[in-house]
Formats: sequence, C-alpha cells, structure tokens
Amino acid sequence: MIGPEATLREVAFAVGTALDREGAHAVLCGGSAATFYAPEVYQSEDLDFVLTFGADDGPVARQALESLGYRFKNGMFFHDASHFTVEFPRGPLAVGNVLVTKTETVREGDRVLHVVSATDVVRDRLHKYAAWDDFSALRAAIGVALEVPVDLDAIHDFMRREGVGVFEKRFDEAFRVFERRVRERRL
Amino acid sequence: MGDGLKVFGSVARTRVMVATIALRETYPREVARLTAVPLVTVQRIVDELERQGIVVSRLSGNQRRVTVHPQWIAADELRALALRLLEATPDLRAALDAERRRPRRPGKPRDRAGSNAA
Repeated sequence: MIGPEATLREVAFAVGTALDREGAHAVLCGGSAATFYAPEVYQSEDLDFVLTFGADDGPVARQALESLGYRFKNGMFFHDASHFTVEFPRGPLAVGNVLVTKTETVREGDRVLHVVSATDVVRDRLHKYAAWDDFSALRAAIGVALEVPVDLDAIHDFMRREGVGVFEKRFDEAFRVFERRVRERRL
Repeated sequence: MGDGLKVFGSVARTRVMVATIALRETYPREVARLTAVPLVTVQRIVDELERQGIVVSRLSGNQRRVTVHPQWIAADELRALALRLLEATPDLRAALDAERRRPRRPGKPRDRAGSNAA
C-alpha cells in the first residue's frame, strides 16, 4: 500500500514487486538508487526504472503502476497519496558510456526489487559530479560508499576510461576528492 | 564565520575564493548566497582577483560569470588547495553539497541532500 508516509524504499519495493509480477523486468537506477542505498544522505523525490527487456514491457509497466494507484501524466506516473513519482527513462541501462549488464535483486519477504549495484550508483554519481561540478552528486557517491561496500578499483577504472582527452583532469580530480573523503569518512 | 580559515587573508576572502574555485564557474550572487558573505563584499573580492589575473569574468545576459583563469600560473594548485579547504569548512561544504548543478528534465521533482551525516 502506497501512502503519504511511505519511504522511497517502500515505494520502490511496491513498484518493483508489481512490475515483477506483471512480467516487466525493470531496474531502479539514478538518484533513486542512491537513496535506496543511503537514504540518510540523499533523498530523491522520484524513482527511475529502466525497462531492460523488450519493447512490450511499456504497456505492462503502465498496467502494473495503475494497479498501485499511479496515473500517467506528462511522461511520468503520479500518485495521489505519495509525493514520489515514477518514471521510465529510455534505456539501455548505462552509466556513462558503459552498459550495465549485472544488477542486484533484493528480496524482502515476498517483495522483490531489481536495482543497480552500489558500485554502479557511485560510478553514476561521480560521473555527474565530474561532468557538471555537481557537489550533491559527489555527496551521494560518498554517502553510498560509506554505507555499503563498493569496489573502489572498479570505480577508479571507470573514471579513468570515461575521463579521456580534455576531461582527463576533471575525472581524475573527481575520483581523488571522492576517494579522500571516503578514506577520511568525511561526508 | 569569525573562527573560519584565513588562508587567503580574511575569512570572507577565503570563503569566496574557495567557493568560486570549487564551483569552476559561478556568479557573485551565487557565491554570496553559498558563502554567507555580503554581495558587495563578494563583488569587491572578485574585482581584486580579476585585477590580479586569477579569475576572469564575462557577461552572460546581465549576469557576470566568473571562472578561474585557466592559464594563471598556479591555477591547478589553487584548485587543489581550494578543494582541500572546502573539506575543512563544513558549513560551506554543506551549502555546496545542497546545490544541484546538473540539468533536470522539466517537470521532475527536486531532490534534497540529507542533513544527517552517514
């Protein structure tokens, strides 16, 4: 049941479970995935799910959302009892120029949620910090890394590959700032 | 603000320089809001920095966009120092952390940076 007090995590599980039951494979990503891993640090107000299988999932996803009380308007789903909106950004599921092929499946009782890994969330947020000087994204990346184990080597490799040419210095700096704050546990 | 770092001569000047450099491109009103330094003071400090060749500014509409001069002799070192000082200035860091600078699709709700440290 989605109500005014429902947290993003609760809404994510409700939507994820409804999608799964309808046979739509969708993965929580973006800022909402950061909130899923580190709710005290970063609060997204919308949930982004990327449909990962087949063009036929669109109508199925709509049916699943409407069964929860969501209605579709202006490209996203709104709920009368919750401020959390749901959106289905166009795939493929990717972080920077890298396709995401491995995701996490989290189960709580009979509820299920597919979500990008914490390492991919950090990659995504750091990429945004490096590209836009967006310190809120840096904070989210640090928050997730302090909350759950992430693969720092894989994140470093990703930032090196993404930061090519004129962006090399930016991406290198972004990773160094992130790594230092994680090491010092300085959110 | 009285107990803040004075690396660049005064607390206000240090805060203005750290914010301006960390943001890479900004404008005086934004710096004033984030640093809690009065706008006239920010404008005076930015004027001084521009006279010394440390920052450059250009008009975009009626907004004065300020960036560190990329060819200034110690631009990279200054940026590294500013980012380190930012980490040592919790209130300024929190103000910057709450700023979303990446684009947002029209109609999307706003995100909030949490106030609780992990």
